[in-house]
Amino acid sequence: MRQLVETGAATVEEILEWQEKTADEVQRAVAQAQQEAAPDPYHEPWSALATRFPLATPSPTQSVFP
Amino acid sequence: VSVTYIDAIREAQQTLLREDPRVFLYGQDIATFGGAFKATKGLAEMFPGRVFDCPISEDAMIGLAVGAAIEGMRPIVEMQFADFSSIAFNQIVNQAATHYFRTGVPVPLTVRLPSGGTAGSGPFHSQSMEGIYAQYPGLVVLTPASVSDAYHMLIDAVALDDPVIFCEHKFLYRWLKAKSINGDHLPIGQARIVRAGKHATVVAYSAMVHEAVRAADRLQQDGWEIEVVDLRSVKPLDIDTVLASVARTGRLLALGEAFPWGGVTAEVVSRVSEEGFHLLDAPPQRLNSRDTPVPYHPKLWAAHRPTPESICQALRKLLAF
Repeated sequence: MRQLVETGAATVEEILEWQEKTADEVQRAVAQAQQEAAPDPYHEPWSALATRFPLATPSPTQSVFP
Repeated sequence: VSVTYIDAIREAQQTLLREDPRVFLYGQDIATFGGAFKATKGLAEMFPGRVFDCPISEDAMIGLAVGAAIEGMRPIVEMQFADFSSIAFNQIVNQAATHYFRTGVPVPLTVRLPSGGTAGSGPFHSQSMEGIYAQYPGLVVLTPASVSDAYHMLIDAVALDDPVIFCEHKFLYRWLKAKSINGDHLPIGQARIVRAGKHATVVAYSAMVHEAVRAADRLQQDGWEIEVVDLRSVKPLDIDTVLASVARTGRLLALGEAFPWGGVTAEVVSRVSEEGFHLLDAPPQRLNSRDTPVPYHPKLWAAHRPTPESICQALRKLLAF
C-alpha cells in the first residue's frame, strides 16, 4: 500500500475502497456457491475443451496463394 | 514459384491479422526483427499495433495472452523455441488448459512452438514437447507435416475456442517446399494417409512423416508396401484412421522424434493394443529418439533421432515377425 501511495498510483482511501469491494465480492461468491447444489458427476459434461471433436469440416478461410 | 513451410506459417498469420481484428501476435523479437526464424517478417509494418515484441519472460507472455483470450481476443504467441515453453508451463497447463473446465469461459489462445531438432542445435533448441502438452486435458496439440497443413491448420487453430499448442518443425521451415498452398484441407483432429500400403503401418507426425516416407520408398525396392499415416493432430488423436490402417496391414510402427519415455508413440501403441489387438499380426513397435538430451554434434544428432535407416531396420524386424 505504501508503495502505491508514495508513487501516486492510488490514495489510501481508494485502496481501502478496493479492499472493501474485493472482500464483498468474495463473500457474495462464497455465499452463492454454498447455496447452489453440489455438482452431479453423472450429469457433468466432463469436457475440458469448448470445441466438440470430431469436427465435420475445416474452417472456411481460403488460401492467399494462387 | 514455391512456398516453404515457414512461408505458409507467415502467410497464415497475415491472413488471420487481415481477416480477424481479434488476432494479435506476441513474442520475442517478432515485431522489429520479424522473429528468430522470420515467421512474422514484415507483419508489424503491415499491421501497426497488432504485432508486439515482448520481454524475455515466457511466463508473462502466456499470462498476458490468457487474459486477452478470456476477454475475447485471439492471441498468437510465438515461443522462440519450443524448449523455452517450459518456462511458461504453469500458465499453459494450470491456467490456459484448465480455464474452460473451471469456469465455462474458453481461452482461444494459440502458442506457436518451433519444435524438433536440426543439426547443431543441441539440447536447448531441439526439443519436441508435443507429448508433454498432450498429456494435459484442455489443450489441443497440432503437428503439421506439410506446407498446406502448416497454413490451414494454423488458421484452424486460431478459429478454435480452445488453447492450441502448434508444434511447427524447424527442420521443415525452409527444407519443405510446395508449388502452392492449396491441397486437401482436412479438419483438425483427422489424420491423413500419405502413402498407401498393405504390409505394415507407420504412424508418424511432423518431420518424421517425411523420414517414414523415405524408409517406405527404400523398402518398396524389396517388395514391401508400407502405409504411412500422418497424425496431423496428436490431440485429439484420430485413432479411427490408425485402426483402419492397422486393419489393412496387421502391423504397426509408431514413430516420433520426441524422447522415448511415454508420449505420443506410446499412446498410439497403447490405444491400438487396447482397441485393435485383434487386428495385429505382430507386437506393435515404436521408434523414438534416444533417451538422452539432444546432442550438439551433427553426427551424434543424426544418430540420436530416427532416420530412414533406423526406421527401415525397425520395419524389417516388424515384417519378419
